[in-house]
Amino acid sequence: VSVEATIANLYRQEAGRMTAALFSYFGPTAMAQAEDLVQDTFISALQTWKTSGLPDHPKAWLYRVCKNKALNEVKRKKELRLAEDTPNAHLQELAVERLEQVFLDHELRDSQLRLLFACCHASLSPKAQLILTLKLVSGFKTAEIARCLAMKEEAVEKGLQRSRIRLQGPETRLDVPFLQRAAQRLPVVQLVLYLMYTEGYSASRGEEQIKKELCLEAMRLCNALLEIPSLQPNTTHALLALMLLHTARFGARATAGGTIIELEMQDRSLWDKDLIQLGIRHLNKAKEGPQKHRFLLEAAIAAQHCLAPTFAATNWPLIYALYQQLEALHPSPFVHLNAGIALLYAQGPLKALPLLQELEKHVFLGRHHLLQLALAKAWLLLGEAPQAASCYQKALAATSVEAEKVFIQQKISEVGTA
Amino acid sequence: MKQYMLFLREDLQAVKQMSPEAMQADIDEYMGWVEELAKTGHFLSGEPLEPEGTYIRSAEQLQTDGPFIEAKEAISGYFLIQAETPEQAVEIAKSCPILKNGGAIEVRPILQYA
Repeated sequence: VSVEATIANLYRQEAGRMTAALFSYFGPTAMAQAEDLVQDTFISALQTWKTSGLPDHPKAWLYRVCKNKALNEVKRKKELRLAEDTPNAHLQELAVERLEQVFLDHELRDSQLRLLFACCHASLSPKAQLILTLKLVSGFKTAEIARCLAMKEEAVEKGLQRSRIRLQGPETRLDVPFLQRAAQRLPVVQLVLYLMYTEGYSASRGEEQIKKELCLEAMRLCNALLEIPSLQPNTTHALLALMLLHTARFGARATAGGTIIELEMQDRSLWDKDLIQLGIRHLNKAKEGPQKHRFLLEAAIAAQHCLAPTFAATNWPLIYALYQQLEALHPSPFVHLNAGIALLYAQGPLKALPLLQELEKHVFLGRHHLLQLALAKAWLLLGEAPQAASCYQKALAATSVEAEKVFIQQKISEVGTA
Repeated sequence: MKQYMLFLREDLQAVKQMSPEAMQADIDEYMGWVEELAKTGHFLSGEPLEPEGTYIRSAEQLQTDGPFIEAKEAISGYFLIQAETPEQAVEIAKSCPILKNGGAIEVRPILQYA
């Protein structure tokens, strides 16, 4: 393993924690300073380790250097203020002591969670909250964020600059007991983690490898949230269950060459049994909480898929019922589409087709490739190959993602030869 | 969460002259935006509007072709969203594709009795 790769790994694991520690040490107005110190630390590591090799304990090395850099910064500031402020040895000692404290293990975790809650600032849009979280808490580089969210780097940078200004308000002071306010902001934080996961999970945009890391990071932060019992974690259990039950099926959803394999055709023996079990455990814990919660419903749907021995043996009537509950809670054209697909398998194409055709009138959903694929499936089940072919053509025109195009083209040729 | 109506405003003459391809590309862009807002539960409803309609005013019910077809910023669509704070509603509005196309967007909280 090269020095560069080691540093890249450590950066992903530790940069967010370091930034969070410095952030709670220097306060929210010095966020840029905290970020700069972390960058400096890793640059020093690269320079030193390239000439003299890896230290015995790279992580400890990083934290020591980071602490020293922070201390130098404190001293330098003191010198700047010499004229008005006599230097006080006692104050300096206190500064060192506090610095040592914010770098303690449990403090690191807590300050990282505090920073997560700060990033989920209620005045930011969900997307802006996600970008800020990835940058500050998760140690993603700007270029990586751009790659996994299919954005331009400049757009990410510009958004970050605007968000940072928001974070400097008095309401983001992280030193006040944060758990009291945390419960109130938990739903916002959960939504950002949900968005982080789904951005990573969706096959439609961005690059494969970095997106997998997005999913893992969302689950890691979910786990960290669960370590704070006062947060009434039922809905967080549901969120984590949802993530685990989707991740369990990761390995089966594409060929080695990257071709999409639809649920019906997936080799279910490739699904990760351990993750499914863990997901079900979290789902059961979640069920002790509110029953009508979107994460719980979505996790329950995912569980039904995971537990079905075959596609045909799936409990589609139950899945359709769960989607109907979800429609009542969160009516959106995309939930209606999923409900329509469940109806297709629960009650057959004659029942589902009118519903799907109604959705086709929706201006923002009508051409969506997933709707057109569902319509095609309904026509195929009715034995109407030409109708299905025309839906596949519409689906093909509606996506610009290469993997999806390949998948749809394969469908078109299947219909053509049928 | 409180509800907000977003009014999209743009030059309707320009909208009328859009080619079908440009119109479709436009709608596709909105589809991505709506999908994202729907994921997080902020999207409630919304549609674009036909560029033509009827305008009625005063007790005499004077009726003309509307909306203000000559206006550079007439209403071309709407979205009903919910947001944590007024600032968040504004931030969401700022991410609307209309702003890339030279249009404007108006954010109006739904009036609620205290």
